[in-house]
Order: sequence, then C-alpha cells, then structure tokens
Amino acid sequence: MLGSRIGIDVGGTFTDVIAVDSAGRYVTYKHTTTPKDLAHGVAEGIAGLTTKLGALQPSALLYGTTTATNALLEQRLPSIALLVTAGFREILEINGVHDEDHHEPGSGHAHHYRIVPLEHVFEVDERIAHDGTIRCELDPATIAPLAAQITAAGITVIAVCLLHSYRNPVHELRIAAQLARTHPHLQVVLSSQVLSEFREYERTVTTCLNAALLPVLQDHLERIAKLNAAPLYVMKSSGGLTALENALRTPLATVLSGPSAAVVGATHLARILDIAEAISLDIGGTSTDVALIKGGRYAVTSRAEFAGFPLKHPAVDVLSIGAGGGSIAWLGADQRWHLGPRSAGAEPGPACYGNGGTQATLTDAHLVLGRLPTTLLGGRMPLKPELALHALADFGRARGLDPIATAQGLLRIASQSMCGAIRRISVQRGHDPTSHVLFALGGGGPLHAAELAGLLGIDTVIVPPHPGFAAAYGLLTADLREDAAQTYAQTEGTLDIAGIQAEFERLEGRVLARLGTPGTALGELTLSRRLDLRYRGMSAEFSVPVAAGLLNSTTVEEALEGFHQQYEAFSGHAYRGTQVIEIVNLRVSGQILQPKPPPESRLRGSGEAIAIGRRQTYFLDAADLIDCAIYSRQKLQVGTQLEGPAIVEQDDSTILVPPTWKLTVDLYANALLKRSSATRLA
Amino acid sequence: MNNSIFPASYHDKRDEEEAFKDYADFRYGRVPQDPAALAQISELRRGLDPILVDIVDGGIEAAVMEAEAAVERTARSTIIREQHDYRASLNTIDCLSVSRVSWAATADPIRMKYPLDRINEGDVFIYNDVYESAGTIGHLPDYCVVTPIFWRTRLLAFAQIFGHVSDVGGRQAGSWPNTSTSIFEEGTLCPPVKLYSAGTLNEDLYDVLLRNSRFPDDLRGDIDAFVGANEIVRRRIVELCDRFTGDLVEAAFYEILDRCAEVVRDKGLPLFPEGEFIGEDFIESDGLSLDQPVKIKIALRKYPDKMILDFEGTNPQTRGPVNWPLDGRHYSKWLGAFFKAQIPGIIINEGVTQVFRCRIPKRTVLSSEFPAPVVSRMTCMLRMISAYTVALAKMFNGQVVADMQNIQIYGLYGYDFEGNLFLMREIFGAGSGARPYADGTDAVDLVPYSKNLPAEFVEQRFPVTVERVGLAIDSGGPGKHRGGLGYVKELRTLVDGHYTTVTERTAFACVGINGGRWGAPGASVKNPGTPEAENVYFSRDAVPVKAGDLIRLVTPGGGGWGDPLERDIADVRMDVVRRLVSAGSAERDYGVVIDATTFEVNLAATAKLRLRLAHERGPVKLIDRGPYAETLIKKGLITVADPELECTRCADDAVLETYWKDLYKYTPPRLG
Repeated sequence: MLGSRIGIDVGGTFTDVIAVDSAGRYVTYKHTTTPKDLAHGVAEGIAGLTTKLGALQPSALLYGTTTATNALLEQRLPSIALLVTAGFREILEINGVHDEDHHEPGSGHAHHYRIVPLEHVFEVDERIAHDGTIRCELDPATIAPLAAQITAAGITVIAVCLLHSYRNPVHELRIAAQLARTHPHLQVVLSSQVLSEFREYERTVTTCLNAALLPVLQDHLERIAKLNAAPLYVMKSSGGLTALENALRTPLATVLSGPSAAVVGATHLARILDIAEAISLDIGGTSTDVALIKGGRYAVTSRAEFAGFPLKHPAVDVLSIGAGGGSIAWLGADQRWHLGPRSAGAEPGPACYGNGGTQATLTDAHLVLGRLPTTLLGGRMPLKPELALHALADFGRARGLDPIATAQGLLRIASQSMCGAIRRISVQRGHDPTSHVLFALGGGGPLHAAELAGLLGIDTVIVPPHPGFAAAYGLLTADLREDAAQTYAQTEGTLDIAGIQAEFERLEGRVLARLGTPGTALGELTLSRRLDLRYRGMSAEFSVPVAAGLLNSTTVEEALEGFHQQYEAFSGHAYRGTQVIEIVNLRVSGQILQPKPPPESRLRGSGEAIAIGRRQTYFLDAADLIDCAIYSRQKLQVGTQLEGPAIVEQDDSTILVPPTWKLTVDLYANALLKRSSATRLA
Repeated sequence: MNNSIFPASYHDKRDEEEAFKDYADFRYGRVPQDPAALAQISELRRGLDPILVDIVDGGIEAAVMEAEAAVERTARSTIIREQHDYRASLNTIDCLSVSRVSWAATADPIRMKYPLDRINEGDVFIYNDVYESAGTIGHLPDYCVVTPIFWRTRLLAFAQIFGHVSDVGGRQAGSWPNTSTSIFEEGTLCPPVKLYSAGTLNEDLYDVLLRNSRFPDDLRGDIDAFVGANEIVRRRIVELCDRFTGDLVEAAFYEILDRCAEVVRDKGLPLFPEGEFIGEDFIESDGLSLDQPVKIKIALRKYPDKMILDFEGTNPQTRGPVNWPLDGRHYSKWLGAFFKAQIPGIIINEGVTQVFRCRIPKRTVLSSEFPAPVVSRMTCMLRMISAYTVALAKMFNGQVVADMQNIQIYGLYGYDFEGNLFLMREIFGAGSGARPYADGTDAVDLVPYSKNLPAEFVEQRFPVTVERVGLAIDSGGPGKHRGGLGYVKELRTLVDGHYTTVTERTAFACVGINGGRWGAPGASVKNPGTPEAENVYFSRDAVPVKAGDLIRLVTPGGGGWGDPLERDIADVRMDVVRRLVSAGSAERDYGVVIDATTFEVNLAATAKLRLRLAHERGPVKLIDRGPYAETLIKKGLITVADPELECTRCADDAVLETYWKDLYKYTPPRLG
C-alpha cells in the first residue's frame, strides 16, 4: 500500500518521479521536463519508474506542479471578467502600484501587467457596510446585461469581489446563484469564498488570480489525473496535499508547490533524526530556497508575495533568491559583480553545457574550479570545461582577472548571497544559525552546504540519499491539509468570546468538510487555531496560536500574551498594559496525517571507502587548488567515513567535503558532514 | 560656439570657490575629518580585494533593506507604513552616506554637537530639529534616530533612520499647518540628544516627547521601531567586521563612495551635453499669499568634469511654510539620485557630490533661516524636480520624461462617534509624466512601494465611507505618449469636521514636453454634482464639512510627451474604450473622431481633423505649462526663460477668475 504511492515533481528542467518498492528501497527516475505538454513528461516519468519496478498499481499520485507558477511568472493567463462594487472599477489600476522607476527618466516599465484589463471590469450597484449591514440592495436585474456583455466577449470565467463581502457575502452569493441559473457554463469565483479577509485590493487580486488560473490548472490536472486510475493529490504552497477538487477551488494555492515539498521532506528527515533546529537549503538551476525547521515543524505564513502579487493563501515560509547553478554573472552599473536572478535555465544552459550559452554562470565556475565532474546525470550529460573557461575569461577581463580568479570571485559572491538568505530567515528572526543543522537539497545544495555552514558557524550538514529528488521525496512525506480564515475585527477589552468561538467552529466545519473528501485515506486528524493580532495603530498583524476547545477569558489572555512575546522578539519592545490589542483575523488549519515512507537503509559495510579518482579542487576562501579524492556515493555504505578534502559524486548531485570536514554515512544512508571543532573557514 | 548655451555666467562661475563664496552652501560647517585616519584608509584601499568591496556593499544594502522591512512591519504612522516615508542609511564616521542616499538625513548633527569622546557604545541619539540638523531633517514630523556603530571599542560608522510620524504637536492635528509663520507653530522641537545613554533609556525625555503628541501611542511605536531598525543595521555591520576586520570594512566604505563618483563621472557625465540650461518652476503659493507663486530657478551648467546646479534667481525665503533650509551638499545628494535615470542600476551615495553639486544662494526658499516655517518643504523638493525636468528638456531637445507631481496629501479630522479626535490622512499618488517611449503610469506615488489605505480599513477605523476609488478621466496630458492619469477618491464624512490639503498642481499644471500637452491639475470638490458644489484649490488647513458631505479628491495628471496628433489611433481608441480618455478629448486633443458608444473610429474624418488641428495650432511647444502659468506670464506676474512666443499661447484671464474666486475663504489672513 505504502510503496505504491508515487511522488511526482515537475520542475523547470526535470520531472522527478520517486516511489518506494515493497522491499523499502527508493526508486527514482528523472526525465526532462516537456514544457509543451507537461503531462507527457509525467507519463514518461511514470513509465521510467515502471521499467525499474515492474507494473505499478499506485494507491495515489502525489503531485508537485509548476503550472500555476509558470503561468504567473510568464503572465500567460486567460481573459476573465471582474465584477466590483460600483465606484471601484479601477481598483486593480491604482492600489499597491509597484512602479519603482517611474520617476526616473529613461527607465521604468512601459506597462505593468494587468490581470484584468479595464474593458473587462464591470461595476455592480450594491453596497454593504463594514458592519455587514446592507446600505444599497443589489438589483438582480442589473446582472443579466453584464452577463450578456461578458459572454459576448467570449469570456467564461468571472471573478466577483464586492466591498466588505468578507463580513457579509450575501450579494456575492446572490450573483453566483443567479449566474448559475442563467449562464450555467460560466465559472464564477467569489472573493468571500476564496479569501474571506479584509483589504479589498489584496482580496480582489487573489480572487482574480484564482479565477484566471482555474481553467489553466483544471485542464492540466485533469490530464494528469487521466494518466492513472489512482486518485491525484496536489501539493499546495502550505506544505499540505489536497484533493484534486479542492486544488481547483483555489488554484493560486499551488503556486509554491515544488519549493514547499522540499521543505516538507526535510522536515520529515529532521523528525526521523530527532533534530530540533534545522535549515533546509535547496539549490536548483535558477534559485536557492531556504527555510527554517523548528521542533520538527516548518513555518507557514500568509504574507508571502509572488511575481509582484500578494499571496494571501498560507505558504511555507520559504525564502527564495535568484541564485542557482544557471545564474548569470554580470557587472552592475554600480561596478559590483552580481549573479542572477537571470538564469541561463536549461536552454541554452550554462556555457559548459555547450548548447550555445556564452555567459558565465555559477555552474561554469564550479566546473573550472574542479568542483563538478565533467559529466552530469551519471555520464548521460557531458560538460565542456573549455567553454566555461572562455566565458569566465570574457567576464573577468574588465577587472584583469584570469578565469580561475574570476570563478573564485563568483563563488564568493554566490556564497555571500546564499549566506544572506540563510541569515534573513535565521538571525534576522532571532534564531542563531550555529545551533542548526543544514539540510543540503537540490542538485546544488551539497556543492555549497559545507562551505556555507562554515561561514555561518554551523557544524553539521546532512545530505539525504537523493538530494536531487528533494521535492519528489517531500511529497511522499506530506500530510493532507486545509486552511480557512475569516476577518473578525475585535478590540481588547470588549472581546466577544462567544462570537469568536462560534466563528472558529464555523471555520473548523469548513476545513473538515474539505478534508473529508470521499476517497481520502483517513489518518489522525489535527485541528489548530490562530489569531492575527496587532496593537491598535499597526497595519501588519502577527499570528499567534490559540488553545483548542471552548474559548474562555484565560485562553484568550494566553493568546494575547503570546502576541506580546512574539512582538517583543521581533522588535525588542512590547506594550503590555499600555496599548490595546486588536484581533483582525481568525485562522483554522486542519491536517490528516498520512503514513510516512520508511527511511532508506543500506547494508553496513566495512567502513572503508575507495576513491574512484582524484582532482585539483578549489574550496571557498582557500589559498589554492587542493588535490582531492573522489568517491562514488552509490558505493558508500552505512558507517563509511571520509576525511575532507573529498568529493562524493552521485547521479543527481555532487557533495563537497572541505578540508577540516568529515563525512559519515548514517544508518539511513544520509551523508552526515561534521566540522572538526575549533576550525572555521573564512 | 552657441552663445545661448555658453553665456558669460557659464565661464564666470566655473571656478566654484570664487563664484559661490557668498552662497549658503556648507553654512552649517563640516564634520572634522581625521587626516591620519584617512591616510591609513587610503593605504588599506591600495590592496583591497574588489570582491570584498562587493560583499561589504551587498551587506550594507541587505542590512538597510532588513531594517526598513522591520520598520514597516511595526510602525504606526500611516505615512511611514503605507506611503513609505522613511529611510534607513549608513554613514561613515565623518558622516558620508555610504548606503544609497537616504533623502537627506545624516549623522552630521550628532558629530557637530557631540565630541567623539561623548559618543559611546549603547548610545542612541534622536532629533527632529530642522535648524539644528542642517535641514537634513526637513520638517518636525520626521523623527531621526542615530545609533553609533562600534567594533571592538572603535567608532566605525553610524546607523541612521528617519520616518514621518503621525503627530508632534503644534497648532494643527497631524502637525502640518499650511499657514504657519514660524517653526514653533509646527510642533515640538527636539534637538540632537541621547534617547539612550550607554544602553539606558532616558525615560524622562521620552515622556516629554510623547506628552507633546496628540497620538502618543503611535509616536512611541514609531520611535521604538526606529531604534530596533538601527540595531539591525548595527549588528550586520559588526558581523561584517568580525569577518573581514573593521579596518578593511571601513576602507571598503570609502571605496564604495568613490565607485559611485567614478561611475557618475565616467558613465553619467559624458551623456550630458556641455552648456548652461535654465529650468524654472513654481510652488503655487507659500500657503498665505495664495495668488503669489514661489519661483524655483536653476541654471544647469555642464562642464567636462562636473555638473553644477546654480539656484540663483530662486525666490527669497517665504513667510509661509514652504521653505527648506538645507545646504548645497545635501541637496546634491538628494537631486543626484536622479542620475539613476541615466545609469540604471547604479546605487547613488554621497560619492555623487564629487562631480555633481547644487549651489544655493543665501536666504532663499531653499536656504531659509531660523525660525522660518518649513513644514511644507516637500513642495520645494517636487518643484526642484520639475525645474530640473524643464532644464533637461532644453538640454536634450525634449528627449526626457515629462513633468509630474506624485504626492498630494489630504486629511480629514474631527471627533468620531465616541468623541475621540481622529485624523485620517493619506498621501495620494498622481499621474506620472509620459516617457519618450511610453505613456506615463496612472495614479502612482513618488515613493516606491507606496500603497493606498484600503477602503475596508478606512471604513472600520474612521467615521467615513469611501464612495469611489478610481482614475480621473482626461487628466493625463495628451501626447504621442499620454501622461499618467490622476487619482480620484470620494469620501463621505459621517461627522462634522474639517479637511486639510497639502497639494500642488491645483492651478499650475504638470508640464508637457516636446509637443506633449500639460496634464490636468487636481483639486478637491465639496459635494460635486450638487447645487452647493465647490472647488477648493491650493493648500488649505481647514475646509469645514458637515456630516453627509461628499469630498472628491483629485490628483493631477502627468504631462504628455510628443505631439498628440501623432498618437497611434488604436491607442486613442483603447483609451476611450477603457474610459481613460473621453470621446470629446479624443477628438479635441488627439484629432481622433470616435463614436462614444460603439467605439468606431471614423478614419477619414480623423485624417481631416488632424490636418486641420495641426494647421491651426502651428509648431508644437517644447515646454507646455498650461493656462494658469501662461496667464500669469502674460500678465507679467511671473517670468520664465522659455521661448517667448510659446509660453503665452493659451493665456486666458477667465482662468484666474476660476482659481482666485473666494481665494481666502478658507485661509484666514495672518499677521506676520
């Protein structure tokens, strides 16, 4: 049963498929992503796995997707219509405009992207007050002509966002009911159902993005679902899996599917290994994604942003920076060297891929510094060091640097920004990185992890058996999760505790209904509650947990004290007894725990590792190239120990073990890198 | 040689020391530098690894961003939070801004007052005193917090942050009176003092500051947020020093400053043709004499090795609060940021002043003297940009972005249903100027990442309803590329109260460039569409409103660029479809004949009309200031150096009747 769940992650370059066979062994397959028809690559991936495992009868397909991600990044969304409260026709035009360079002559965007252009925005005469009372009744007769105009324009999806609908959705519901009668072919997305929270701009954007992604994701997911009879579960940004029909309710909630899955997998490992504090470091072709894992949990935020849009659905708190293997080096007008965010991607790829890329990338730097083998993917992909040297020479010339010095410089710059990302999620939030374990994930994570750990004062790095399959593995470890939130404005001193309790129960009902979708494998259920709080006068909220069960003044007081503490940790100050706290939103999250895959196990070996070669290799901040032994990961057995400097190669990644570091293979086939005490790089 | 761009003044004023010796520049003095330390730094810089400099530069930038993000999350003032009127920065020990310029604020006032042996680890300084801070803090609502950064007991740098808080007392709720005649009416003055001394908070000082604010909880939250933000910057810089040593990090600071100067000198300056070019613009009034515009004049002189902005001819300091008492050095940093236009991606820091300098004569509106009122000094900033735009338009034959006025402030105040004083204040964006290659942006703020207050927040918090949020049709200056549209917000007040405006371009218009027309001025209207409808122009302290009144606030459109008769017909049609331009304006301004309901364009009629309009109009103007300015010019009430025939073509006395009717109804006369 367990072994027949398949994790499938479609990334920009590769489609990764992973499963566990009946003997508890992990079976993986990488296939090139097929952008024109992603389902094709997935079918090939499943077929590849079948050739390794024999005929498959999976119990579930667990799917991580970049379909919504790419549609947003490439601004490739279908036309939709938007209905708004009269007076707010231009809501998308003016709120939260990020046109940073508009006042600097000669620069700036010519046009900023509109999800819905003005000719597709329609005003509805109605008005609901902030307390939910109806100030102006909706006249149903006004909807029919709008629907006619919308249909005439060939539009089939309508987003509806009326003012204060989070407080009273009656007018939105009425519009939906009427359209369902008169225009059953139209898909109607209501803001009160997608995001029942105040702030009309964010709610409108969220509603429009969900509406526009609906046909895109529906088409795609239905193709994937057809590939196999097993039920399809989709990974959401929140780190939880959701049934297909739920995914289509809020397609935008899948936008960080891949990066979140990798964090979920690392969190599972942290639990198995009983690691209290960890940082996941996932370095891919275009980005480095980092996240904090505390007490076997990752953090979930509702303040994320993506591609310039506010992302109000819960998302794993992953920080993504545009520095990966394909990131291109460039000299800024500020005379500084920069790396990324522009990436050579898979096409043409880094110069050393020999596919026509001429600009120096981080991968080119790794190659000429002896940090990468001259072939990738277990020999399937030969690299061309001479092209890398050429690109690096071109780039370094302006500073009079040779290709090796140039590559060293780029490595330092990459390390600096990756370190910065880790600091931003740790130090900046009051967590000391030195007490954390660093999980090295993605094709590039194991290449950088030990050196970054050195810069950050971290002593332990863990490279799981299949770092290049981190997201696909994460899918196998994820639970089902549903979230609901509601704006419910209250002020300390005049709290309506019974009202809050009733709202929480209503939200819990909604979450349970979604979790209970037929076909769901039932596991242990957990429900948790949170309050979004702020001091009066603030605009941003801090989210704090509240005890489950019947609320009383003590449990509420505890939550308020939790807010004072959280605020104090963030800013260094708190205002107990001197300033009033406001409740803004109530949040409920429900999870059904899923069975977890077994840890990988390998036979305990002699402990002796045999080098398969040697290479001159550069380590960060070292004075010179170092002669370095090379090992094959496949041949390392449980208990094997290696002293740095060493390189361990595997099909999906390369592990760098710097001098003063020691690698041990643990019971679960993880490579455990430890720094000898009292030595630090940099 | 073209004499008109190389007049005698171009040559006479090349030697700055002589030419500007009576100017107000550096009248506040300079922080003393330590020659031995500087010599040691230049020694260290010799062998400095450029990648180390990159890393320090990146580290500073990340630290400043991190600090600003923290402020945004915890600050109370809507002007800080939603309108991003705050900046963090890092200064060297001799107070050079090494991070991207932070408007103008610096650590100079601390060094000028405190000898080095009185600046200790754990100290945190605070001030808002304009005249005790060399004007680097421009008005009292901007509180500035400065934290010295020590590495192993040696003072190395200063973290500094300022932000615009809600209220610092004074005559008017929100501390922004348009009619003050002395800085003492504008709020509480706090000279540079220690808020923390060696880590200990001076509670008594805090009590005094908070007691003088109408919204003390907000003020406390904001100042605490600034202290926390500086601490973030301090920690980051110390971490860099731990890694590279304080000596090398400090050497990198100076390298970063010189890099900026080098880029501006090598890449920026060569883009500017040599010669002298005049630009002028007008603040609508000083708040008291509403029919008397205040002139900002610059002579932009480009030499092979430097660019000088000479503000001779600028209006003397005013009785009302539009003064800005900065000195040339800080103006240079501030205006130098506009080099980003020529060199996208560059980070402008104090290094820019090595090659780009503003020169300010004494006792002008840009160099006022204590205790002249200053709270609206923002208008000087904005009109300097406009004057600079006009000068650049002449310099580059019209190949520059047209004029704009992207900050308008409106506030409604009174007592809410519970009897508490409220102030609902918002900074609005406006249409940006059209670009030589694209339209302007609609309803955008000057300050990056600004946001509007959500209607759903406003209605919960204040006794008002928001009836409309949108764009002002036909407000964008017509042009081949259209100016961005102004912003419209309609508020209905549910209680009696007053509203206040800090506005520009309510009568003057945003200037069109190279054939582009002016953008429509913005103003407020009480009860529009009713028999009692009343337009309110110029900045006002207290326009009375009654419960149930509707207030329509409109911000100006950006200037157009290029001949509107050359605008793509399909673009004009799309603007009409989207209700950004009316069918009437399409015909009148763009010569496009379009049916207002079917949106069909009559191509034959359009071709004919465009020919006729081109003929009637004559050659296009390089600089198009709109009817109010042209009428004043024609009447001899203001003067400009624009080509003479061009600048009075649409003068019309009726315009003055519109704007000057009941001029002082809401601005009581005040004795000096």
